[in-house]
Amino acid sequence: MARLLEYQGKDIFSRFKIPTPKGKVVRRLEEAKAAADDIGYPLVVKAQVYAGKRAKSGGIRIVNDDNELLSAVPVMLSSTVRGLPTDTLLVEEKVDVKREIYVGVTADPSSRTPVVIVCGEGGVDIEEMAQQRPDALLKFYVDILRGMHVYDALNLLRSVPGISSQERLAVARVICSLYALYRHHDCKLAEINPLALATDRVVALDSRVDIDDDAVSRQAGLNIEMAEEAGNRSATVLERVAGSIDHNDHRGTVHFVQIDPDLSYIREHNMTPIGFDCVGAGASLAMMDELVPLGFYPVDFCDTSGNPVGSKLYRITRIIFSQPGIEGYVFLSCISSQQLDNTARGIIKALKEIYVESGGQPNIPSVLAFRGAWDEDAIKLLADHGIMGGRWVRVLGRDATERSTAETFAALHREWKAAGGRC
Amino acid sequence: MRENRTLGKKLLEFKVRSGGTIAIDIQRCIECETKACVKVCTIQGGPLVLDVEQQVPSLRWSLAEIERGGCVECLGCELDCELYGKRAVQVNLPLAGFDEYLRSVAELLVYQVD
Repeated sequence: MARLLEYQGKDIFSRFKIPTPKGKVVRRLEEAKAAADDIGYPLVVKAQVYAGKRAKSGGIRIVNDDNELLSAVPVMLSSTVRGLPTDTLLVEEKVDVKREIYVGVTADPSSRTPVVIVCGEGGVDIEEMAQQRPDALLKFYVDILRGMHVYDALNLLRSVPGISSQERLAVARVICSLYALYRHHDCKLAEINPLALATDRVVALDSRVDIDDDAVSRQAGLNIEMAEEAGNRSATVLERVAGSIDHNDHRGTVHFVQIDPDLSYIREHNMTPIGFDCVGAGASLAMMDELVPLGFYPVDFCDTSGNPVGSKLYRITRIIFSQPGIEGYVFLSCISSQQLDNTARGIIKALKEIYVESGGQPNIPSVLAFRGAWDEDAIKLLADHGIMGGRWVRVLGRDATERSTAETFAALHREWKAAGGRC
Repeated sequence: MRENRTLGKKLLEFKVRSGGTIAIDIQRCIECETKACVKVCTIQGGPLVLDVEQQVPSLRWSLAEIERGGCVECLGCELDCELYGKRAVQVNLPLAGFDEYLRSVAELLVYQVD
């Protein structure tokens, strides 16, 4: 999914008439000072990163005057929040909060409908609350043909004690607007955590808007540059490059995420980094489960599915092999209808361009397991083009399992190391 | 509709859906006996994009139809021509931002980039 930053979500909130605090996006101290002059103290300065629990990590600070602002902003712009560098801040008016309420709209897989969720106790640690006290969360399953109406929201809010009728009506309108936003922007999640009941109004203090990555092409106005989910961080350069593969061509898909872009986790755990591509996400996970216990850690997750054209395999193979430090490559297909001869052609063309002098034979251990439609043709192509005969290449067929593929790779890697393999 | 865009040209070049081009050096094709690129350009047993006309490859569809997805970008034309033909086909598939990325990590790469 494509996750928007808080200020981007609040921009959409404003368009749907969901009240938000007065605020400005800043990237330099001078801009922050100008925003403070415009809004007035006290202010809340919030780091714009893809991370939850920012307040607990120093990513949200309250400033009461110029001195506090001048000391807080440079520190926040030069630090990280939960490991994420901060280059953008949101400077907002501080709202006097009487009470906080959680409001969210998401997709419910079991009912296959959108579900509106409200929690009258606020949204601190909402995930834990959902597990430990599910009764505290009020839900309304929405029939998308009927829609969400104010009286539906009012009925839901009747179970929230301690709010006035005026507040109840204001919150109900926010819920309906949030549902409209959720539908209009093809969201997977639209969330206000918290929705503050202030002295004279209700106001969304935070926003979370996640767009369905399959719908990004319909949401051109949001200027989402990267649809792929990369956890609680922004996309890497290589992920952005990979993300462009599907832009103009929907014949099959390529999903690529760098699991450990700087290899820090792999080094810390004394493991061996490898490039990785599978046909099918399930096969990817099963293959990882076999590789990791043997000491090999895929630096990327990659799933090429839906019978992608050969050119997609070519492009993603170039990308996978361009990751610095990899000591091997594993490709494995699940048993599917994917036309593996096209898959093989993409890989062959990429290898021939990367390893020009050896005619496409990699200089790192590489195991390719072709299982499924046209698998014998795929293997023949690798043989015909001379790649299969490479010293550091093993090509497996439909009798290979995830475990035998991992063991074949481990043996080849040992041999490669013993021969003085690079890295 | 079928269009012969080959005759009188030295290069047969057309765009593909994903953003890229396929270029065929027609001068080399004149001496090619296999026409391997045409043989591999099939789908469900029938011809797809390439055909043979007057001893050289030609297009079965308009350039717009091919760019819209008529070519399935299997890359077989380039690879089979390399093995069985005259190395006359070049499939160019750019990746936005990739060259810059490669330059930025050139010192760190395991493999050599030409």
